[in-house]
Amino acid sequence: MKQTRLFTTLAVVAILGLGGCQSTVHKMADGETSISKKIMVQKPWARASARMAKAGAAFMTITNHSMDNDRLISASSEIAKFTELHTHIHDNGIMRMRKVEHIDIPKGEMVALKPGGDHVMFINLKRKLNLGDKLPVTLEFKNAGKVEVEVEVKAAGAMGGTHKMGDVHKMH
Amino acid sequence: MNTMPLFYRNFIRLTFFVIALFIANTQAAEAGNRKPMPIKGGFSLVDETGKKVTLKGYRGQYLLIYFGYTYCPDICPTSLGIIAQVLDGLSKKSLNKIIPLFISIDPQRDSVEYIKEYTDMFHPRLLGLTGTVAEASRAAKTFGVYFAKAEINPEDSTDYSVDHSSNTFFVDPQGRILEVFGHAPDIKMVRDKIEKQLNR
Repeated sequence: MKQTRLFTTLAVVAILGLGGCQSTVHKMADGETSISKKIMVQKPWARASARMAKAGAAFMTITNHSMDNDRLISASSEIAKFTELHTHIHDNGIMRMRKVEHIDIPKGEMVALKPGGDHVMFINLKRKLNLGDKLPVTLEFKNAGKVEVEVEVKAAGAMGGTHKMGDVHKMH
Repeated sequence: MNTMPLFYRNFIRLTFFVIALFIANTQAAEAGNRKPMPIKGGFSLVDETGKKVTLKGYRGQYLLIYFGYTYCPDICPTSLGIIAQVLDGLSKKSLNKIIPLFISIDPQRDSVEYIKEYTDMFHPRLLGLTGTVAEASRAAKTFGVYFAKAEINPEDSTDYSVDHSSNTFFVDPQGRILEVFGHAPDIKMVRDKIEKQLNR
């Protein structure tokens, strides 16, 4: 079974102590969206929602150009009643979504908020998210302060950069 | 007498054990011919057009089944986006042989109308199924899918997220599970496995 194999592989990695899983990448991408002196937010996006959907998620990459560790402490938007920071815990094949108090952005690093991991969560959406919408969202960092970004709404099945075809998958 | 400290001896043993495990694992993966798993149980649900459907009624067709809920903000859209891309990459002949199903594990909120709108956002062939809580629980149990309400809003008990398994099941026309794909599998890998099976 695939799960068993996956589990064993994970166990092997854990035993060998190679499991330093961090959702950080050092490579820079183009298309920067918002810059404060210390923090750069790139490619913020969300998925189109159904008419009755109450929840949505936004993803982006955040780079800390300062000499100090920083931390995303909150997000706010007009689109939803509540805007929170969330993560997913992958528990042996079960996905558990949980609220987090903050997301660490270490100095000199790029942190990816991406599907299946950390994200900005919209709870009780006030309206449907339509393909092509730009949603103003304010991010607040412990050191860098407030950063305004525009979240672009992509297709419902979009993957961002994680899967090649995700961005261009057509709506039916 | 062996003078090597106990820690190192144990460490070496463990390393050999891990390597052996790894080799065994790789071989099992390469063999790749798993036996189809007969499904114990079944389901009786309604599809997005309001029609009563059963697992038995789908005999003779290949199925690709994912369990989730329409309020799911990330995990389900990721999985359904992958399924949509798998379907888009299949030959027309293969696409006609397979029915992709999205089964609600949150039927209290997922009405027939809503599950139709939701599944259509991902792929026109994706068919949503819902039912009563008991019916959905039986369907999930049949496939060993775990789900539980979590993060219930104290101000609004209809506002909650659901913890759930994120597997995709590939079922053959005899009603047996051929493959279980974990969360966010490689699109090409899934497509190749399906295409290979459908063109046997």
